Amino acid sequence: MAILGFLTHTLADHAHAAEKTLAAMPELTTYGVHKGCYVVTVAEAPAEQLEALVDRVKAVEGVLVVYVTSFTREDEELDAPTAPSSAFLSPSKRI
Amino acid sequence: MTFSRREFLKGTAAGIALSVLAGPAMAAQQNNSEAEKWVKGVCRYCGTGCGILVGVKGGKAVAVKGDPNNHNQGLLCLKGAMLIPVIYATDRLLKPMIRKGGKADKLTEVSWDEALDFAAARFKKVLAENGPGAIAYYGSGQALTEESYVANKIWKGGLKSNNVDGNPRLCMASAVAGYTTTFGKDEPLGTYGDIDAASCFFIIGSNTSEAHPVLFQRIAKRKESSSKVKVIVVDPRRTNTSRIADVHVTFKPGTDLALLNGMAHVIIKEELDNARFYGKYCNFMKGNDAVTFDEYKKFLEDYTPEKVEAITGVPAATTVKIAKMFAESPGTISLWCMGINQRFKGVWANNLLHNLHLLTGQIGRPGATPLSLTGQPNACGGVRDVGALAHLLPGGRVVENDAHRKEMEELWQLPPGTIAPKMGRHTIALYEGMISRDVKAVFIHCTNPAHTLPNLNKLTKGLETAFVAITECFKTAETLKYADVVFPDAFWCEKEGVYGCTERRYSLIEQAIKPSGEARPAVDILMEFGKRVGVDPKLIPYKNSADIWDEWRQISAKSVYNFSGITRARLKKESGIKWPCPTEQHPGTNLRYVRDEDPMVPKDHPDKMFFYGKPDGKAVIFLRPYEPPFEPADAEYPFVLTTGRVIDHWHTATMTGTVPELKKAYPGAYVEVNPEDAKKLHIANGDMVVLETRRDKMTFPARVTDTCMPGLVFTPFFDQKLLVNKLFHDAADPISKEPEYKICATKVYKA
Repeated sequence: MAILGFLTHTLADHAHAAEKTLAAMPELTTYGVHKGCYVVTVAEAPAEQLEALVDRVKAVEGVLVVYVTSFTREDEELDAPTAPSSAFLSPSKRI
Repeated sequence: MTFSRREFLKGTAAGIALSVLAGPAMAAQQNNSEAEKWVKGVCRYCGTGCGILVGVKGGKAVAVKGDPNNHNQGLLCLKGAMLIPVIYATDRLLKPMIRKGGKADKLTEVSWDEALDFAAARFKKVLAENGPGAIAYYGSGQALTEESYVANKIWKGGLKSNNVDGNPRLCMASAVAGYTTTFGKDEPLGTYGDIDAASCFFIIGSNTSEAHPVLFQRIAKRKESSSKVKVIVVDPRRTNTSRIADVHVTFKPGTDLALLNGMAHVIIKEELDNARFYGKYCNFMKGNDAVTFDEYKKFLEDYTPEKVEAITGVPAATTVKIAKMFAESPGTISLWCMGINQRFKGVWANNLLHNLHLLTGQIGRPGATPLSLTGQPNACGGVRDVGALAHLLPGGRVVENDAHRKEMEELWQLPPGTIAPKMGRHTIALYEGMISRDVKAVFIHCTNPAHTLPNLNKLTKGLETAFVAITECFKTAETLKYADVVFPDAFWCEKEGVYGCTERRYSLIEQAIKPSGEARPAVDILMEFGKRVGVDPKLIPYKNSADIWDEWRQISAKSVYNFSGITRARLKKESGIKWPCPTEQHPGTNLRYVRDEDPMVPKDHPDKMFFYGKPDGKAVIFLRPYEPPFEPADAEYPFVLTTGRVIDHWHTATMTGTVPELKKAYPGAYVEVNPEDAKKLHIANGDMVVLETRRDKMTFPARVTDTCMPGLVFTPFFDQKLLVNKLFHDAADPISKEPEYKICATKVYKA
């Protein structure tokens, strides 16, 4: 299991709704909305699922961009699959 | 209450994310994960130069997080966040290897001594028989500053060969020549901090969102902060970058010089120019000849918005609109990258961008500046500043200047006349020299030219016969196929050294872990090699890379690149410092050429700005006419082919390709085809499509998408199985010698 910490940048008027949607995803833990538009989010999932997970986060209504802040694979075998991919920093909607 | 270890790690991850929002002061307190220590470094990938902290436990790197005190304020992109698996990739080169029986033989593992002696003996033989012009060093904007500095000194000062070039010739040379011709010295005037103050972003020839994601985040954040902040994106592709644009301008590829002149025309016609500024600080020139403002104005009559529309396809009203946005904004920042640099007239395109800033006075204050984006993490600090190119010497000096050579001979304590007076071979000339057998031995460091050179079928021919020594970290590098000797280089945080990023910021990568296998830091390899070839050991007396830095730092004091105040101790303590920085008390420089900001401008200088790289202290507004690309589309080859990056891979994917999930996201190259073109050519999504140019033809799976405008096709260049540069010509800008990777003519048809 890899652990990825990130900020989910949302439209300000969608922030709380987006947080609820993210919190409902079993692989995610959210830590509140900060500065009106950032949901502090942590993903914990097998590596092969994380890529799709990040895509699901980006697809949530009101989500603009996902910014990774930390990644750890301390518990994983070093040659094992590790973490997510895809265009995570690409804005999913027009600002 | 129980608190599992996983919960602890998750809490730490949340804390780091939260701390990024709270700012550096709070973030600095978040070093509380289970890593035994966090070691400071810089991301290994793009020129953004994000600060990274590497978590180490039991002698192994186990985690990374963004450095909250560096410019990225704790943020990373996913490539950077996934650097740990790259260190431990099974593809790492761990032992020296040689081909004992020539090119047809297999690479065999040998001892360091045998490998070094093997390479040195061959170089010595070539030197003895053919002279210094027959050997070469081909370096990298990914090498550490100390590596490029010592290689430059060994070749130019020790072996008397100016055949020192590297991959920055392929990506940044036009930006270098643009800055030098317009302002007198290389390197940007502004910094990333200008992004936070800008009110208008003019992004041209850059897919910032994929190539420089953390900077794009900063732009998006600024854009969102106020409805008054506007973004103009000029790009024939509708990339993710264009999705935040207020105005996205597509145009006929290769015609942007006309567009930039058209904007200048509008700015003057609408009296949005700043005559007080350019009257005081600028000269107008056509080539080397001075001209008047009225002559410049007359020259621009060829670029009325209507005439520009006929050349570029950009509606006249759009040219007027973006020119007004550029000029009327409280602060305009231009950002550009390979779409401008990798062009047959790349230097001119750079000049025309600078023209807009000088005409409007959008320069020399926060948020108003031209700022070229860099492709590699140390092209600026390690190659441009160090002077590790064929025409350069350290600190902005040039080979073919008698006084500059004399200065460097004194600083390096060389006998007068040691440094050869003629510039060496630039990249294309270097590989052509191998084809003609004039260059017989090359030392390639930290780069993969058999993948990245243009016109590969032609330019790799010389590698089949020349003696090729390579320092490399990964077995997958295409260039290893041509290697006679392979030296395994320590990777990234396995060694210590400095990276200098786009904004003149030098940051230290500290050694976090021991090198893998028998890999050694490249400075050790280069010095050992140099001594065995016969370089006087007194020329390279360094015990470690810190010694090299100290010498280079002190030498810089004799130039306008003065960073003598950036000591190793400061670099260990601080997360990057921007030069000029002449004393240990100096905080670093944000606004170059500005009095009271730039320490190179005398405090008592009568004017606010002083372009001290120019003899009269004035920048230049150039008359540069539109010229078409080297190989435009025509009746026989009716499409324009362009290439670029994707977010999950970097350069030739020798690093990102080792991370399974990054590889999975983009397992191979593809070709983007506009739906209109696809319909005409009966191409469906996923069909195999042939791109055929005058050099070669290759087959790619199709992505039918409106990302490309009609008539344009795009393919990424990371895929080793589809070496797209085989399709490209090797015509280079006549000034910068940078090849035009961004435009060639192609046929497109279903396989």
